[in-house]
Amino acid sequence: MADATETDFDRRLNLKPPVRLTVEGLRVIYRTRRGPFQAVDGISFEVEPGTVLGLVGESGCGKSTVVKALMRLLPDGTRIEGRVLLDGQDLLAMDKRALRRVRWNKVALITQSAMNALDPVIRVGDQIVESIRAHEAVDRATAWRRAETLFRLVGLPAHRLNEFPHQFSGGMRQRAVIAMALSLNAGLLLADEPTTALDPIMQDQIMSRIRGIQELLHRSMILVTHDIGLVAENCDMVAVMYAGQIIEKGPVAEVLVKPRHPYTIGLHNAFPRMPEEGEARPPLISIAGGLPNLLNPPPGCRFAPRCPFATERCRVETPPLRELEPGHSAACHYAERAEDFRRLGLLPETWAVKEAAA
Amino acid sequence: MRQPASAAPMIEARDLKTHFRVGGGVFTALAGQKPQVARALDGVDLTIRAGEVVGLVGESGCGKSTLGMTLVRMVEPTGGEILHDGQPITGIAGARLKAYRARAQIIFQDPYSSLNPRLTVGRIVGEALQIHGIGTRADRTERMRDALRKVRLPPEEFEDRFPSDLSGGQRQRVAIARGLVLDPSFIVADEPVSMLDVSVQAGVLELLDELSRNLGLAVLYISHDIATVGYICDRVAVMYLGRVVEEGPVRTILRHPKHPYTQRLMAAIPNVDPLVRRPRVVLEGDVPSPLNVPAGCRFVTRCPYAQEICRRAEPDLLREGDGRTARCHLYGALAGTPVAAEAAKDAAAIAA
Ligand SMILES: Nc1ncnc2c1ncn2[C@@H]1O[C@H](COP(=O)(O)OP(=O)(O)OP(=O)(O)O)[C@@H](O)[C@H]1O
Ligand SMILES: Nc1ncnc2c1ncn2[C@@H]1O[C@H](COP(=O)(O)OP(=O)(O)OP(=O)(O)O)[C@@H](O)[C@H]1O
Ligand code: SF4
Ligand code: SF4
Ligand SMILES: [Mg+2]
Ligand SMILES: [Mg+2]
Repeated sequence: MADATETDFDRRLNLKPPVRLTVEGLRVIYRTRRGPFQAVDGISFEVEPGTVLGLVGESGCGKSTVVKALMRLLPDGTRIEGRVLLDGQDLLAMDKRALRRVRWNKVALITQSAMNALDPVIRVGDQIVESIRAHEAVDRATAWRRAETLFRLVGLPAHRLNEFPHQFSGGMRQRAVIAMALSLNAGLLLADEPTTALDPIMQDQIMSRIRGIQELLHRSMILVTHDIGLVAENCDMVAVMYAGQIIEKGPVAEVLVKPRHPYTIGLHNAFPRMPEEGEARPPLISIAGGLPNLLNPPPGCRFAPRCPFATERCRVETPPLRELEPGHSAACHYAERAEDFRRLGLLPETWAVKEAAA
Repeated sequence: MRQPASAAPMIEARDLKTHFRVGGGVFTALAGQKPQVARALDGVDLTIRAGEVVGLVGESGCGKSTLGMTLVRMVEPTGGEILHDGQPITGIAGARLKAYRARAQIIFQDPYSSLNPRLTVGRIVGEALQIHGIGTRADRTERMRDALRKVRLPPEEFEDRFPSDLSGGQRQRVAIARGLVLDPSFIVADEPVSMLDVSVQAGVLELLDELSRNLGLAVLYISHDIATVGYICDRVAVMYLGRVVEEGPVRTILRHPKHPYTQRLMAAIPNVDPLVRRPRVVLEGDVPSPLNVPAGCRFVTRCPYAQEICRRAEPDLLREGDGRTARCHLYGALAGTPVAAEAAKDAAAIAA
């Protein structure tokens, strides 16, 4: 498939340098009717050029807020503090013009509501072409051909570019949006649940294609997902969030195999497993209770109300994120006892006691 | 283990068809083109008993949501029959249709577009009670709060909030609460937990499971998440391009798939252990379109075992000894041939 467009596209792809992302003390405070709501509370992490960071954690813990903050796509009135360094340049300090240059060109986002991101009255192909031409000086025909290439990349027949979003199934719309996000070939791709709406085969193909591009061209990526399998197969590093904070981070092979934080341990064990034939179904482990109310966060460890291992100390003293092994940190006073926690964490009784907290 | 449901069928689809006309606009007519027909649902047979959770899996665009929406009568079938509790509901209208709609609920795949942004969570969940004129105002509030509690959204914290300031997972729980509030007898859950992390997912799945068991609710659970399907469902139906190609007890189908499509589907599931490398099984060929369904077997354009007969005749649903049905010539006309042996060998390799 060596037509002129693709060569042009490939060359453009290669011209873009990889991006290093350093986030320092990021804090996001939404303005709400009930007062300031601190959705993200001082988190720091790094994405090395060409690597993939998985971002996981309970619904509502702030993952989408983090990725939107990295694009400065939060509603007006939201306070963002800290530093977001893209190759050393602070994105949070940029003026509108500089931001426009960086956004989508250097860092692109596949939003969680991607399925809904398409304009219902404009043909899908025209939307992609528009988005390309808004950021790059190319003619319509070139942009259209690139859209065709991208459609094939995400497994959609090119002729469907002529259709309207409602003619697509949920998964097709999702893939169209992925194609749009890839169309500018940013050095850093933020993917918020990009394949949640897709079937396993399509997810597998798209992830391996995104991974292919990412590895070949040394792209960096943040993958927000709740699918531990996706993290295990696609990420180098993983950060686990809880109530606006990172409570554990490290190499995937460490964190998923030997989690140190009780929350990560619970998350790990909550993954449903199909029983063997004839075997009784093991009870699902669900961590009772919910996230603390962040309008008024409790003192001490934020997981304490739901943690089966919490002590008095946990309720008063905030555990700092500390490094336990090279590159692997956790924010728990008792992270040294993780081996016991992992054993106890396999028993549903361990997690059941706190039901009243819900 | 769950008792195999022996109750009467709660919902039944017989040769159900939903065809959409596409491109029927003025321009197509002026250009002298015929409008095309998308055969989104093209002859589906499916039974869900009271107290049973049936999983529905398959490729994006294969017709799962269309089946769900057709079963609850949000989309008009163009052929076949739907029975609810033994009663035909395909032709009903007016008050009977309204009554059916209260009994058959759907929880939508996309919690972004399905919640009215101008209504509070409490209104969204309670609205259906009002529409159906149920109870006093106080009863309705109590039932609304009850539904919110069931999905772990404390009403005191959530009932006055708007969808726009909820996270994706919280919105999904609102959608589930709305589906539960009328105490339905049949629920289509279209990707109800796809945006929830596993710790919350577990709670919602147990809830669906409990409701089906205790209240005799029939659940059609549509999902791409095979792990949750394997965990929660009694039986599973695998769809491909508008038809069910394999159906049966969940563990039988997921552990020992027989249809070549199901086998490839199972091979695509990521392994949760980062230290294990899974062999990649690629599925060649383009995703076929319901506008242009291939003759013979629907999977023929991508099946590595396709034979002459596959291009000629669509295989019937063949009943196997283990309680499953599969729609593939390998187990009928082609049984015992070298290609069937080859397929069996590949299947063993994928499963290993
Ligand atoms: N615009 C907003 N105004 C006020 N609060 C908000 C707003 N957007 C999100 N929130 C709140 O901030 C918290 C974090 O939301 P966010 O969308 O980042 O969660 P998430 O981790 O992505 O969850 P999910 O996995 O469910 O998508 C939630 O409690 C949510 O209710
Ligand atoms: N209103 C409509 N008009 C025309 N075609 C439609 C319409 N609704 C759905 N289709 C087509 O019918 C097919 C089935 O769509 P459906 O939404 O049922 O798929 P699905 O299996 O739920 O997919 P996903 O897993 O992506 O949600 C698709 O090819 C889709 O393009
Ligand atoms: S610090 Fe205490 S409450 Fe927090 S996770 Fe560790 S043991 Fe549990
Ligand atoms: S009938 Fe033929 S083409 Fe269809 S799945 Fe079976 S072997 Fe493949
Ligand atoms: Mg989110
Ligand atoms: Mg669907």
